Amino acid sequence: MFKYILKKVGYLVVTLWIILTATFFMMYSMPGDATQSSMKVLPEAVAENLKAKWGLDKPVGEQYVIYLQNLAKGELGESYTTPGLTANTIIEERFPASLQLGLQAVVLGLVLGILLGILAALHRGRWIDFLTIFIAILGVSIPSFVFAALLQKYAAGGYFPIVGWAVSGSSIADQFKYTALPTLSAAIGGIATYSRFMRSSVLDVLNNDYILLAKSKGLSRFQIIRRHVMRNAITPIITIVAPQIAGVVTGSFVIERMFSIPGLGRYYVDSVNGRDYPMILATTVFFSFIFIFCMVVMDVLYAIVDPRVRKGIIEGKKER
Amino acid sequence: MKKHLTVVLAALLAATLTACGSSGSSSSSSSTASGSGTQTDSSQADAQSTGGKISIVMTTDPDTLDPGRADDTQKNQIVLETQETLVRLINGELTPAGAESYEHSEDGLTWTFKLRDNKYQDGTEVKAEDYVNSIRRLFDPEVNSHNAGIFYCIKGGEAFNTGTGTKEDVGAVALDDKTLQITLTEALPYFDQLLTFSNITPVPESKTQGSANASYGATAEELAQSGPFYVSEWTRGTKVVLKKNPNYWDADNIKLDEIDMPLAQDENTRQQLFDAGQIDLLSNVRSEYVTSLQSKIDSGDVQLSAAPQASMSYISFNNQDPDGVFTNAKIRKAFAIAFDRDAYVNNVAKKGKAAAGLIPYGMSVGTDEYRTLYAEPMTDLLAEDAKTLLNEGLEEIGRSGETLEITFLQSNSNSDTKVIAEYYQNQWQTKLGVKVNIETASDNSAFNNQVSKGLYQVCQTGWGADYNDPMTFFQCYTTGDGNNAAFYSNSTYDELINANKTESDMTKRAENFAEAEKILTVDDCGISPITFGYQNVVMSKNLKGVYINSAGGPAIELRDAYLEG
Repeated sequence: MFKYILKKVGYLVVTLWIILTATFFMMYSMPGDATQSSMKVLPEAVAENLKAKWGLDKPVGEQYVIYLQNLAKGELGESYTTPGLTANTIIEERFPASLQLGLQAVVLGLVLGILLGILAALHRGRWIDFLTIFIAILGVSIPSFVFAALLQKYAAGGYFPIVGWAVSGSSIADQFKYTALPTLSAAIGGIATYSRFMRSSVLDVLNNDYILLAKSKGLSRFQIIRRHVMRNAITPIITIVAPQIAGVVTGSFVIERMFSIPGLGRYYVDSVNGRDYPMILATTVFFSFIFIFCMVVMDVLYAIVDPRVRKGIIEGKKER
Repeated sequence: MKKHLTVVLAALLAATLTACGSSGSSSSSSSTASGSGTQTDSSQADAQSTGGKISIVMTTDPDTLDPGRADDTQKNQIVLETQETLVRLINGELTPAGAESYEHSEDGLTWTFKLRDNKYQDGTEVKAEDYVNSIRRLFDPEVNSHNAGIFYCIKGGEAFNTGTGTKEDVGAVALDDKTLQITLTEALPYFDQLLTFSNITPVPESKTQGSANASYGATAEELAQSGPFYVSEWTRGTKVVLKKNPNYWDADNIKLDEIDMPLAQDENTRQQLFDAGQIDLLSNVRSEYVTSLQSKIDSGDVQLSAAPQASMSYISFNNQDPDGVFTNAKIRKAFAIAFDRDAYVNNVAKKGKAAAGLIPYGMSVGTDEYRTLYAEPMTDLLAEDAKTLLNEGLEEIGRSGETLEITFLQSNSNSDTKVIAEYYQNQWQTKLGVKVNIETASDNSAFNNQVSKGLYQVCQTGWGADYNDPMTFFQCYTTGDGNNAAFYSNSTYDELINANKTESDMTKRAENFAEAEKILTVDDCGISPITFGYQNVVMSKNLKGVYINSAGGPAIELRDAYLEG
């Protein structure tokens, strides 16, 4: 098992390096650079100075080597567009807000999604089922920013602020006030996906013989759901949760923009537009890391949870 | 400089002709004599002031508050309310501010400023050497101010900036604590207009020593702030809070106590904030939004102010077209006039006003508004027959009878630029019978890179004024200028513009400008202006004393603002 984890981590490092290298060279192969991102042409001296300061005057290969050397030291470089701030600082300062929003959204999505999914499956064809399907269709088809705009229009302005974010260390009430609507906006997609998955998963499980057996044993309905249905139905959810977590944590930049949340998402978009190379690389690598890390954790969790997967790993080893 | 992109993008979102017309009659007052400012009703300001707190939005998240690096509308807005420029645009008039008075030598090369007794928010005194430091930083290779080029007129500035001179050689000296002297390389008659820039505001040298020089302005705490307000809170990505600076020289006349500036990058979010009464002012609003507010505007619950913005968009022909098509003036003219500008404004751009000249409304020459002195020159040209011009042009380049095929370069693939490109494609194909291909650059950097290398035939771009003098536009199209996207070159034009840099007779200057404008847009048709900027500002009913600047100063000047009632 340890070796399995080690191997997965090895893959993570190699994948990250490939992503980094591909991003680096694609970025540099685009015509234009950070000194040309605004409409007005900079004085030649200023442009040259900036290029020298950023090392853009060196050959691309050399820049790549320098970048890797700095990366090995844990230095992601100073942002081009935000003088005085390094990519490290920006990620440290900004990621907590993205993480908080993302985790809250995932938890809310999971709780509501699973609950709705189970209820819908158990009451198939009844109003709760239709409601779940309705929510699922809405959640999948309405982009989160439209939902966010609707919330801003109809739910915000009174108790809930339209924009802003509670600074770290503020009261629970403040945290709730500022994060409720963005969290709901970011969670709507998750609620839809999880409830749909959970519904069909529960329906599958309900058709199994062991449920019939449990019923015939005289177990209560609640016991059956808790001990047999839930446990078996929830496994497929794990498969989709990992990439969803990564997606929500890294991909809420539209929500961040609309609610003016000081998260990392904005930098991801702005750095691309401003050709802010250190920030492009830092955010790409950082987001890739989170994504791949979630996948690795999922693989490992799966091996722990599902005996068949675990058996497969051990047998694979024996064959060799 | 982002400013220009922002200005043009902002203009993209601004008013349609209809909305401008209706708003003009409802509540805006016309521009002042100098033509650069519009003021909301400020009668009996003193009697009705109540102080208090207002909110306006930030449309972008400032990356630094270093005055030396303020280069876009948003940063200018914050810096200019929190720092004292030597002169300020008050209700459109250049008014001594950080300087109590100023004068220039007879040859126009030496400008001497007598400073007021002003203090930073922490109580330290503002000294002439602080202005000297900020002027030196403007050219400092460590600072890399994007606006350095605009100030190359200051002696020794270009040399320091390009690494051939030292900061001590920069032509700005403190004669004593309260006297600043600036020496120029050329006698620019409009030099005082440049002083409304946020870049020339006092920065004590003690704040910018060592590594702090390059990172100054990354936090609010380190800023020395000399303006009517100071940044008391700056949470990156969320908000900026300005408070009244009790040490400001004119603090007694500053009525607002606090200006909250929440960030709202999304247009829709901004409208929600205004609808919910959480912000008191929203500038650059779309005409659809103005329409949705019309009943409130009519009932007086919302004030609407419409004012020209000194920006313009234009079709840039590559005058050195490698394909040899747009090197011909008649062909350029044919393409310039083969569509209806009003239709373009109403149906495609949905912003600004149709342009028939280079210089937008709101620009002054001396004390007169340029456009009131000289009408837009392209009117006659626009009435000519495009197809005839094209045929004559084709004959001149020896390609008579050929079906011309050209490529239009669009800046990126967003919906706005796509609609614009397809409009030209459609109009030129139907009106001129040519084939138009559309090439798309992936983003602004790629577009600017391609244009700057001359690797295009025709594209649309724009320009926003840096300061309130037509020179800010004319300069761009002189031979070899870095911003001359069209690679336009005409020696008579160059001579007229060069002469006007130092021409102190304002009548003669305006005359030269008018001649140059005709050469550029009519005789040569080197570029073809399409729209002039125009913006709608909505305000809560009790916010008064707000100045809307067309060029120079903050876009919205809140120094004298107050809440009525």
